[in-house]
Amino acid sequence: MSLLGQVEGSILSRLGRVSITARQAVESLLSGQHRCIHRGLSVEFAGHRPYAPGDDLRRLDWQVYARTDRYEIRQYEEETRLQATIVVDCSGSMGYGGKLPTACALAAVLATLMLRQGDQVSLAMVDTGIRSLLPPGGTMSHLVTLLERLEEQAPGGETALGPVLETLADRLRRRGLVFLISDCLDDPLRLGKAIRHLIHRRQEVRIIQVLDKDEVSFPFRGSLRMLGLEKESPITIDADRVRAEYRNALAEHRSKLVQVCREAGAHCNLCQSDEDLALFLGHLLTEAQ
Amino acid sequence: MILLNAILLGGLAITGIPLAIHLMHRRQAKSMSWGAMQFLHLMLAKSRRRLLIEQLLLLAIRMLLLAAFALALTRPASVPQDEGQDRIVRHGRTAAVLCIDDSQSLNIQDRRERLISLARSYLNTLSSGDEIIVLFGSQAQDLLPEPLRDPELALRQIEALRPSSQASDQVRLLSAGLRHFAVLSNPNAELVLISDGFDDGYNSQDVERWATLRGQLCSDPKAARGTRENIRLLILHPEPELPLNLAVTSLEAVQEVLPVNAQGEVRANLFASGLPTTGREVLIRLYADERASQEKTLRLHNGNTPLVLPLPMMEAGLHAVEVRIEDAQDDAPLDDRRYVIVQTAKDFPVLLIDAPGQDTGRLKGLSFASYALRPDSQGFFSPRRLASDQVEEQDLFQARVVILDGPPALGHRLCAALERFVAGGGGLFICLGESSGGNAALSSLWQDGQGILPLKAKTPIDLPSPSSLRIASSHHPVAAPFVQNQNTGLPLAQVRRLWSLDQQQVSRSATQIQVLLASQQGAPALITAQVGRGKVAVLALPMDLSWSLMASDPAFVPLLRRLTLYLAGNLVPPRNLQTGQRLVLPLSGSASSATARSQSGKNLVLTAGYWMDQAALVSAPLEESGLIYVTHRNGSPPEPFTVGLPARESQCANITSASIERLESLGSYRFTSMATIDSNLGQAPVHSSEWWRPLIGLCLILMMVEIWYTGRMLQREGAGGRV
Repeated sequence: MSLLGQVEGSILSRLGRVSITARQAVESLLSGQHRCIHRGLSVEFAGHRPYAPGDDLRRLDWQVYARTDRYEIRQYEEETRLQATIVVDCSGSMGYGGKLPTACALAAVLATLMLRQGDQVSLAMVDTGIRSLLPPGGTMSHLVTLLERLEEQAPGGETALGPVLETLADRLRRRGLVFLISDCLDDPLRLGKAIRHLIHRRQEVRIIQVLDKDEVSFPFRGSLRMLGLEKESPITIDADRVRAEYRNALAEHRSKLVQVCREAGAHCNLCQSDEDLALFLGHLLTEAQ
Repeated sequence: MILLNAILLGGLAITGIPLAIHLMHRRQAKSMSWGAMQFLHLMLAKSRRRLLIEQLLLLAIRMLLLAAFALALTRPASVPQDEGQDRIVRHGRTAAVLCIDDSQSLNIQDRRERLISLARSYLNTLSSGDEIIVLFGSQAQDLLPEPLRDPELALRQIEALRPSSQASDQVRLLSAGLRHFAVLSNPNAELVLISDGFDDGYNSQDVERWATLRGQLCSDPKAARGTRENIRLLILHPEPELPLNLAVTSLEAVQEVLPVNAQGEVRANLFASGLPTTGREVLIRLYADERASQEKTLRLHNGNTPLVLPLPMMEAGLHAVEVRIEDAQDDAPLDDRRYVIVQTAKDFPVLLIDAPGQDTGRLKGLSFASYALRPDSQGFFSPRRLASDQVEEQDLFQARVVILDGPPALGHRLCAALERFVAGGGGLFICLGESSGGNAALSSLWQDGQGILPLKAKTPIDLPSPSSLRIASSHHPVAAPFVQNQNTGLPLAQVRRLWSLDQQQVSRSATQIQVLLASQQGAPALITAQVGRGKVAVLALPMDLSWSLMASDPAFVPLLRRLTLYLAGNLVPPRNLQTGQRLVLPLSGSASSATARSQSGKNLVLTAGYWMDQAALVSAPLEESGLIYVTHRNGSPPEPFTVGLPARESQCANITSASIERLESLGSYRFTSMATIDSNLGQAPVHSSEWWRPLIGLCLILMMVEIWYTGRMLQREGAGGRV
């Protein structure tokens, strides 16, 4: 079954008519359901400002002049189309358990939702660098291409989210929305810096941290030889002895990540690979609105 | 440090179990891929050292716990400090084996009471928890008893002590005592000999037995005194005092079986100790069947005095003869008298066995013997002559003496019956000649030195000239009348040929071999020997005139009669017994059941058994000295038996310096008074030198630490941040 078929059956049908909106005003030349920061000719009156030489006289509000003997120009808000960038981490660590399939499923759902509501979506598959970048598009054929890219990706390489996001940020010209779907097993401070860079580039950033249930609970017992998926040196541990310490370390990392995101102005949600994605996304998207 | 249960030292191997489990655990680590390695690396970077220390600490605690437990099982104990000659230091609880000499000499003076006092003093130095075994000399061969842990119970056993009739044997008693340490477990080992202070039983001249005992007491000379490898030996006995004792230490009849109205005599040995140098006059009286018969007044001095007393004429039957020291007034009255059983008989059946087909004419074979033993005015020999192929087993046992000519060839069964006959007390007279049985007949009697022929008969030799026969042993009972009459032997024997008897090759069953007659050249012609309970005589030439003219010598007939009487002189069954021997009563048709009662009125139990392959009633080993009367159910008169005390129990010699030297060679401690026992042993026992209690305590502490620490770790593992 194709990725679209999978997500349609188990997720999209349950999500119903939920929509993805951008909190900040999104700039777009096209009409869409998102607010636009530009106050010009539009259907919604946004307010007055004093006339300045060079303004269009057609926008001069003569009724205000009659009342006040002052020259004021009318301002309007216009709804425009959203342009989103979905970044999916395909590093080696995403190969553990069901993380990458979960990430791809999330990316597929988000892309499908956005295209249905008339928005444009681009896809970036990253590890140490940008593996592939699909430019924004809003057609069904674009969606098919996007889904195909998601299906054919295999985990590999090392994690370097910070530099990759900063590179990506330089490529994004318009305001928009950035979804980062990753296990975020990287330095939170570097990630925070990259997030701030994206926000500076007028992107709204939403992070979905995908972790496997075993990575969260560490249910293992006995003596284990752990082999890293990103060419780390193997280590032998006594699982019973290290469980508590590991959980503490993971919780601390997660806490730091959330703090960094909050300080940077981004949202970070945790999604376990065994979680019900429909519920998760429903919660995520309604919370965002 | 010593290990009381060193055999469990191998248990220390369990200490390696935690380590083995740990190593196995590590070796069996499963490999798996993991995404969140950074956390593991980070965590290990922070906590590796702590985790490693925790792991090693837990491993060490577990190994130490098991090691402490295994070591506790081996019961380590501190090596006792060296003890001085006068001071005994006990480390830990005591395992004591008390060997009590309950021999007959305990009856003398107040030795029993003093022995009990010494035992009480020793037991007062022990306390509850010490292990004690009380072993009496008369019960040394019994099964190992359970140890007592209460000195009071041990004292009660000793206070019930009654002297037995057995002789002392201190070496045997101590060796038996050593065996009992196998059932004792306390660390401080003491072997205690409590005796009456007399020297009897020490056998100080038996060097080999004392050396063996030393080896059993001290297997490791370097080990501390009081350990199992070097057991502490304590000798407790009363201060030596010389008792006054007059005793009849032995009594025997020269001839246990006598013809009726023949003159017999008894030989007694009188012993005296504690008399002044001037001695003492005593009256010795002989009783026959409780009737005084003879008396004699003697002046006894300290030491042994032999005495010969004539027996009175007695009717046919069994008679109890007693020799008594009248009015001895000494410290040991039991040995003032002694008994011997004598039998007088009207009839002495003699069986003469010729070779088959032998000419029994007047001058042939055993004709001379048959003639010499014919009934006469005294009429007590009843010779019966049979060819060897006509003899049955019962013919042997109906005779008192069997005379073989040749000897003839006898079948295996008859040979075996003959051996039983001799061993049971019968007399055998073998005349060597031209044996019709050949070498086979002699071989069956010799049996490579295991048979009843006392000396090996080599080959007949021809003498260079005819020789007379002289009395070779003037002290022989048979030779006595000849010597008294200054008769030198058989001067007219004219012996031309005789068998060579090898005096170097002696049968193992033969003892007291004496040459009665010898040729002028010194070759033995007639020998006697004790074989079992019976007597055997061997004549190295035939009794007829083929090799000599011995039969024509006037001394031949009286010699032959006297020799035959001598050979017939044993009581069958044996009636003069010693304490420790069993009473046997062969059963016959008329005597199939009987009861036995001692002089003190005690009934003896007789059980069915065998004696010399004959059905018999047998008693338990006899303990009480004196007379025993056996009454048959068929109404025949009671038959007497006598049980005598061992002679040395009467001799009352105090422990000699030689015996003390033997004891000192074992490194023993000797105490003769209660005060010395108390001062050397009565101190408060040194605090236990055993380490197993502290080790078990350490195990418990380590166990609690391990449980607490593991619990804490589990708690920590169960915790951990929520993501």
